[in-house]
Amino acid sequence: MRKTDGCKLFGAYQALAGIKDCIILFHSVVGCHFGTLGLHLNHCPVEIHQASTLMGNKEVIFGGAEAIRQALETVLRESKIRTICLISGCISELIEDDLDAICREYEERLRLIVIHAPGFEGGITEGYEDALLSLSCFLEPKLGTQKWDGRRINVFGLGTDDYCARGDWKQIQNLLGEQVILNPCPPFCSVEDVKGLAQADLTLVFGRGKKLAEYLQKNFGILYEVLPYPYGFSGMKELWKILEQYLECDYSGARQEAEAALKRELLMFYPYMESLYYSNFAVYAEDGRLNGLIRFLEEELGMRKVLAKPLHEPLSMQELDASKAVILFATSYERKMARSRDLPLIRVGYPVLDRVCSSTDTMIGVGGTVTLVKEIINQTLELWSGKDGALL
Amino acid sequence: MKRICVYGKGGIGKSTVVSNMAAAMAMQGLKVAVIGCDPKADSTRNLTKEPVETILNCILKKREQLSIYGFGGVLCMESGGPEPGTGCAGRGIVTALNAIRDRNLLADRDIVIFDVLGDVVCGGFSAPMREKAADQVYLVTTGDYMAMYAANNICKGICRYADTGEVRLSGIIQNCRSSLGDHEIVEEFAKQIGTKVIGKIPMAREISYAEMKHATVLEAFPNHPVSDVFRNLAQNVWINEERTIPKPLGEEQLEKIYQHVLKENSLSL
Repeated sequence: MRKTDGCKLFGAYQALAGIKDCIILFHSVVGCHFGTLGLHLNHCPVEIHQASTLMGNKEVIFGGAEAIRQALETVLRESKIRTICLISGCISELIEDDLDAICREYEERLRLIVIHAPGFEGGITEGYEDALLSLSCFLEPKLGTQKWDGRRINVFGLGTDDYCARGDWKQIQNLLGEQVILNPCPPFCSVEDVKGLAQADLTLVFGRGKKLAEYLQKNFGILYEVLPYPYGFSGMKELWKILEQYLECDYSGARQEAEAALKRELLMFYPYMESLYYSNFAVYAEDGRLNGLIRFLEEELGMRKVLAKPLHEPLSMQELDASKAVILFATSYERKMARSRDLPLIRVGYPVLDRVCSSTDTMIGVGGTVTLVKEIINQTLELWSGKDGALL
Repeated sequence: MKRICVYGKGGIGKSTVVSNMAAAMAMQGLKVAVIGCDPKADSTRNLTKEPVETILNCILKKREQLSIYGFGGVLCMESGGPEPGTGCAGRGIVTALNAIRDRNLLADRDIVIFDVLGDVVCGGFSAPMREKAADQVYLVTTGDYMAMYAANNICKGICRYADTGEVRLSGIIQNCRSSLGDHEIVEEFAKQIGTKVIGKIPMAREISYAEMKHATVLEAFPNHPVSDVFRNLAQNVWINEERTIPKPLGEEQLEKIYQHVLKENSLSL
């Protein structure tokens, strides 16, 4: 049985939709536009720059080239934006609309990149990887002997509509401190910023974005490391260790400060944290987040992993029951599952539809770790207090 | 109402057979409809003289009239479709058939003939079989190996839809072109797949001459013997109620037919 999952088109959207001064143009049916917009509005109702050719029966039969031209002419007429990411969905891929020909027609007036993202070819991760790689056409050559100001890194893997993604991005910048500069990277950058991705010493890949990282290594000599999402103190330590290893930085001070800050803040909930020791948890998230969470929960909270599944595989109620997990880390789609078994659901991954977050809410760094621990405890308290007296 | 569809390898003579057979049926007093299921929209040219506005174009232009009457009062329609190399012609066929059905355009006809594009490369082209538009299939073939290979392939499609629908193979119409041993090969093929040859169209220049004038031989050369062939074919098809689920041959079986017939005629490869 295959899991119902977002498709390649959704993954491409996740990679590109946050890029300012760029329009996402779906060449597909209305549902793709509706679905992506619906998920996006939940997290960011103000930054919307997407459109669709709204393919119908006519385009299926006679080809969609004319619909694309109409859409591009509308952009030229009504917008100042001149960069278009043309995401081609199932229908246009099936009938092989000649998108390259249209790109050539408009190349003097628009900067068009085509991303082939039919849902029948893969899931969200494949779509994210391919879309991010497609941005390589914008890269400008690496500056030769000129040194840029400080050490620079790229970070790939965050999605436009990931829960707390904007806050996490800012937190990563905080963690780097003044020793390393974080290049603006997709999806939180502009098209101009994408050009500068080659001006980096290192790329960190949090689960997704490996294809573009490999491209940067092969063509520009920029090394990369694939890391679990930096949850908790262990995540921070790993991030700093990699930077120290590759870029000769020194984060010993930051390490000490973070440890002290965490001890100070988490002392408030210590009795509750004690009661989490050896509690069984199940986690169901994208690959990068999965490993980061497992590490944090096991090493720092002393919890016990009884079930861990990547999001692209189905999770059944039988598996969850058999695991005897008492807490579930998953997406909003697992809410009913959690409720039916009285399990606290800590929302991670994509999509999170039934929570809002601000641009400063985060799940990483000192503040994010405290937030995460609070969320675990508060949800558990809410669900279980008054049931058996003791917490667990 | 009799509903038949005609399949066969591209260029084998389907449209020629269909248009002449339809003309013969019309002259025998039947109310006939011919529906071309091919983006080229050339199935009914021999009946209408001028190219017909396709159903898909009529829908795009919001025109109510999707058909015209041709020779002998034959109701002529062409599905139309995209230009070569673009779009999805199969989807066009489905859309056209739906339009015909929704408008109930065939209600007064005695017989409807769907002339379908030669290479059934996607589901759309099997729509006349699958969408229950037709329930009898005729294959047009010559004795050439590739024509029979194509006919055999279409039998596989018929088998697939025969399981869930009423479509059946009713016969083979042989277009007699040059190759030696033509008759025996086609007869043997028909026998092995479980059907019969219902008509043989001889080589006749008059067929081509008539087509040059955008006419059928029934119109251009009504007294020529080949016109009688089409009249007989029309009559045979009209009264034929035989329907079978064909037994498609494996490649080896198909090759054996050729070896067997050639041997009998003292020929060798």
